[in-house]
Amino acid sequence: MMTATLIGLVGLACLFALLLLRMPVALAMLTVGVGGNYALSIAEPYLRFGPYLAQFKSLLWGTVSSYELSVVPLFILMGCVAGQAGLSRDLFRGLNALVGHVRGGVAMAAIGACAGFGAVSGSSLATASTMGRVALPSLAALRYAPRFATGTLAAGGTLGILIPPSVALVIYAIIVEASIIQMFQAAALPGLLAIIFFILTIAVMVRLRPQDAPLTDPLDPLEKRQAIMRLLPVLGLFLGIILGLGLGLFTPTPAAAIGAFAVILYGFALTVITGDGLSWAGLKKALLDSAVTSGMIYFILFGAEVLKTFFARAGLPQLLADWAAISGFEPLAILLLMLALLILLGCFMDSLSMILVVVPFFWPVLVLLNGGDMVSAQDAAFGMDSESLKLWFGILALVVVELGLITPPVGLNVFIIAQLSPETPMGDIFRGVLPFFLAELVRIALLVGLPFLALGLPGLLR
Amino acid sequence: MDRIGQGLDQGLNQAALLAALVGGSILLLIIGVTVTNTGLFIADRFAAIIGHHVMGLSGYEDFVGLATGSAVLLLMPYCQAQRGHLAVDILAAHLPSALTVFLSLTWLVIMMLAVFSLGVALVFGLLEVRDDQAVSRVLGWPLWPFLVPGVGGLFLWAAICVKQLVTTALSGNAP
Repeated sequence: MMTATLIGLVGLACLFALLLLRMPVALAMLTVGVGGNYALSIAEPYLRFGPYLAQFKSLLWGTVSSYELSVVPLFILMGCVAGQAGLSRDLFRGLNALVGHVRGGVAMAAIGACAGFGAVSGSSLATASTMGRVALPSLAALRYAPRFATGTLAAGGTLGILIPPSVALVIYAIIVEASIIQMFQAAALPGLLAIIFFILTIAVMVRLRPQDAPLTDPLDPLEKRQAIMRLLPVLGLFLGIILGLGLGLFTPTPAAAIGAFAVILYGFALTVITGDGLSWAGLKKALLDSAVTSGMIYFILFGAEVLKTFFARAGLPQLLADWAAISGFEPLAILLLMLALLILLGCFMDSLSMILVVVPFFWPVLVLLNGGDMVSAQDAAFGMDSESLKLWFGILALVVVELGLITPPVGLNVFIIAQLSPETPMGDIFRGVLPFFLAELVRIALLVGLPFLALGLPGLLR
Repeated sequence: MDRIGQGLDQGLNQAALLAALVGGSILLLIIGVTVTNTGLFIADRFAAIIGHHVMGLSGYEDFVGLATGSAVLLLMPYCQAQRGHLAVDILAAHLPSALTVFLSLTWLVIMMLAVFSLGVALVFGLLEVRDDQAVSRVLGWPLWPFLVPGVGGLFLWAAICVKQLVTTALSGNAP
């Protein structure tokens, strides 16, 4: 094996070791990237370290001042303001007013609200945390079984990653150089499918164990009308952003900025009209919350950029691609292997890091297996051209990555819900999540078997 | 000595908070400029009906890129102050506490060195773009002033790491 490749593999092992030892993810990427490049420069003198270091004068600035990435802090700010303005609460109350009276209806309303809030926040963890705070007390007061309630919310939180506009979708699109808008279009139907599957799962669960979800009294008409009236502007806002992006009326950065502006305006209007919308203190809190999330994401993006250079110089993506080409496995089998690996990695890595670290490895392999970058759909191994493959694989990868958020032993969403419901044992929450996990496996099988579920809408709107 | 330490600790926290709020305000400014630009494009659609044209803001993407760069680097110190950088807890939770503290201190030292080096590199970058009289593509604005908040943000971030290093070492508890 060539020295450079060996150094690359040692670097990969070091990365996982450092992650397991709780080094911040971005710092681990940065350390391995710089250290690995230094090792490469010793082993292969033509890979000089001096010129490599010199590019750090502009590399960080190049990452943070990218116009394409400016959508990230704006969507994050929109989500934080939406949380402070009480949009999550209005969503849950409004949907509860519509379906809360049927058995399991409050849990279904929580799933719908998770999807709605996920669309705005773009983050699964933020969705689980916010909706957990909003819906868990209601579910507990209505005597829903803790296992069922916490499982529903942990699973519902995963909807954030795929319902457009999602930060993870944006970052995936940037890595593989796909159209962000087409990624959003491709995610729409699979996202909707997730909501339907989760609601069906709840329906089956409450039929099997009706004692887990007692029937509730319908709201009085005035209360119901008020809740629905508060729901309508929120839905209008979400639909405005989603349709604006989907129909190509906005590009992502303006959509994020206009969305944030509309949420701020709506929040302040609510304060004036009802007194419980967005306050100045709430806006300040939203700015600070978005500072933490944006800072974390940008540092990971920078770390990933440094790490990517090291892996590329070490020739690891090419090594993987060469192995895949001579392995004799069917392309679909390799794709399934990749998805399985993503589920496995999801047990101890967060979704964003996985996308940033793993996708640059997997993508060249898939392109090679498919027949190259310029292959036509007729000649391609997966039956689609490179552009479509980007969309299809992106959706599959993100669905699988989001599954990691509820997969034992880590399952970040489960940890968040456990913090909000300390009296429910972690094992119970994982058991509550299990039916949703199975529903997700069915959805993944459908998306693998029927690529048009992801590719249909972008094809129609192209 | 304690009072000086506390004062320094509070001062750094306040500086990080202020930097985050300035960064957040720049994001709000970007939102304002974007809404104006989009409003002008919409107005152009309507004006076209009666044969007129309304221009969008020239160099809009230039501005958003530069402003985002300044804003993001100002958000970093607060992210560090809140220990917001993502880490994986799967194994570390089961390690002896002394080892956890040691690891935490080690990562803080590496983080501080890395961020300080990035700050120094950005200073060289700033001097280079100033000497080259580099300007943005469409607006023609000089680039170097936009790097100044970034340099400040990075050195403040490194200082926050030092503060956390001292706090962790003195308390003997890993966060």
